[in-house]
Amino acid sequence: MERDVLRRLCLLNQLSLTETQKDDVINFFAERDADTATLEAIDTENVERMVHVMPVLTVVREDKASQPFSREDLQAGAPETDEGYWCVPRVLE
Amino acid sequence: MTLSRLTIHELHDLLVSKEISATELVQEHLDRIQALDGNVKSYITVTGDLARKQAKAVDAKLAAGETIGMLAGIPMAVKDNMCTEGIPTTCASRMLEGFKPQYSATVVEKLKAEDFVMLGKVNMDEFAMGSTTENSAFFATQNPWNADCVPGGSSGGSAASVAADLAVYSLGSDTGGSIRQPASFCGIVGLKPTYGAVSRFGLIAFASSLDQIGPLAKDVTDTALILNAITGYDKKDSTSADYNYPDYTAALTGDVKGMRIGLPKEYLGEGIDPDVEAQVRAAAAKLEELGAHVEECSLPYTRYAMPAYYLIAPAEASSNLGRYDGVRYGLRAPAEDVAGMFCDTRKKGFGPEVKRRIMLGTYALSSGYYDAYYLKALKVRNLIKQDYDRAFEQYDCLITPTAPTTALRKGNNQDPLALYKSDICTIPTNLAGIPGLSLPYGTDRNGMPIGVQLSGKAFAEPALLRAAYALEQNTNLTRLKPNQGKGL
Repeated sequence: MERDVLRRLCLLNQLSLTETQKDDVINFFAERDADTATLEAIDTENVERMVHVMPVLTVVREDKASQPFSREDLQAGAPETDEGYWCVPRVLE
Repeated sequence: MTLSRLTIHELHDLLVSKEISATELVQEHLDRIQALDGNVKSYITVTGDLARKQAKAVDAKLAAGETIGMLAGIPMAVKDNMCTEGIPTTCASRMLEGFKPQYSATVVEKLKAEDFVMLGKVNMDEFAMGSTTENSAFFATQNPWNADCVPGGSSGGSAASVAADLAVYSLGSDTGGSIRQPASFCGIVGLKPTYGAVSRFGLIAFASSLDQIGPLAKDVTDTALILNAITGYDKKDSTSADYNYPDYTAALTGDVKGMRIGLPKEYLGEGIDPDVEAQVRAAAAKLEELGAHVEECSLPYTRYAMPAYYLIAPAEASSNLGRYDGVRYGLRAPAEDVAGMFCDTRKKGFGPEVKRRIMLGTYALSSGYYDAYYLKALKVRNLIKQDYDRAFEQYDCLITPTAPTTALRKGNNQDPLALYKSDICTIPTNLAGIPGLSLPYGTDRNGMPIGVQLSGKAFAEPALLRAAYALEQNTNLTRLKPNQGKGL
């Protein structure tokens, strides 16, 4: 794990780490690599990937208008709202 | 009579015969929480008023001569990663501190329909990532058996509350052993059901293809009773299994004659504490004595389960935890612009272990690393599943340790890789989606409880309950209680 890769991962995850945390992650990855490398020895050429152990069905809601939650309820725990909208700090310069 | 020490089925009999009231029962538990949970620290939120109200409703039904279900009026606790309408649900994270969901998880709704009494929400490792409950953002929970030890994790609050008689039973969730390992460390029964048997709707996701909700209880009968209430198809969960779920209490026969039980050699020997191995072998011998056929077998891909798991689970977590951005609910850190808000919110909201796993997962999914890490791990997962498929052609269930050791000492969370190894015996069943049950079976040289794990093919919970119940009925090693004063 190089610092540049770590910087890219932080950006992808919208995470900022302190220098100590960065060192911690780099050390952790170095130790993890030994464990992960054991997988390389296995021949998986003709093995199917298994994302789920069982078939996954797409849940389709009944095509019927409904309002299970009120806007007020959904926004009750929001950090900031204004007239029914969620507010965020400025997006553009 | 100390009501808090009793099981669901014992208390149900007392409620129905009107020897006790649900109100009296809940008050005893609330008083006990007040007196002892300052030490144990199992609860994040105690819902005393709600519990008293729920108990009163059960008393009214009894007074009116109505029939009540087995779980009616029985005080219990819910792991704090299951949504409970209007009640704080934190996932033991600063990110969700103060968050009150607008709906309850299906599993909570199912228990509500059984007239449950909820004492509160219990502690856990943040977002269920950990094996000690020391990763909670709020406080660490202690093991009721020994104050210097952890209760296990991530469902440490669920296990400690039941072991300390601060709840009659609890719900936990298990992604890599998070029900069974704490059950083992705290000397109670814990069951991870077959993937899809219990709805995950309203369970705050860690790794969606592995997470499963299950019970932690004082004995095998209680475990079957809870399973009866919480299993079932749920159209709100795309991975819910549409299956004809049986009455699990029918498996409690005490008879194991003719059962075929495998003892996988990969789970014994190096890395397993000798006391733990001795108890696993003793449990296998007891089952043989009771008429089961026990023989050694092999699951050759077992050693690859942990490296595969620690690629798959973080990969899913990194995606699932992307939703915490400070916009709609939960923590928001003040910032000048939206990009700064995302970064600062996630920096302040997540603890070090969660950040570590998010980074690991994103790395495994990144372009250039995906095939070597994530894809490889998914293929190895298939090989592990095939191992089990072959084994279950010959055996009704497998017997192994639940964890390589008994409860770990507090304060060892500086070495995450060493801690990951405490789930080495439980992770393979999550990867394969099969059920696993941890049963207390004696103690080690220091008097700490040992857990024996029974696992079976998908939907083989009755076989696990059957074997566990036979052990429970024929030994005095399964109903263990912590010494008062040592960890309480």
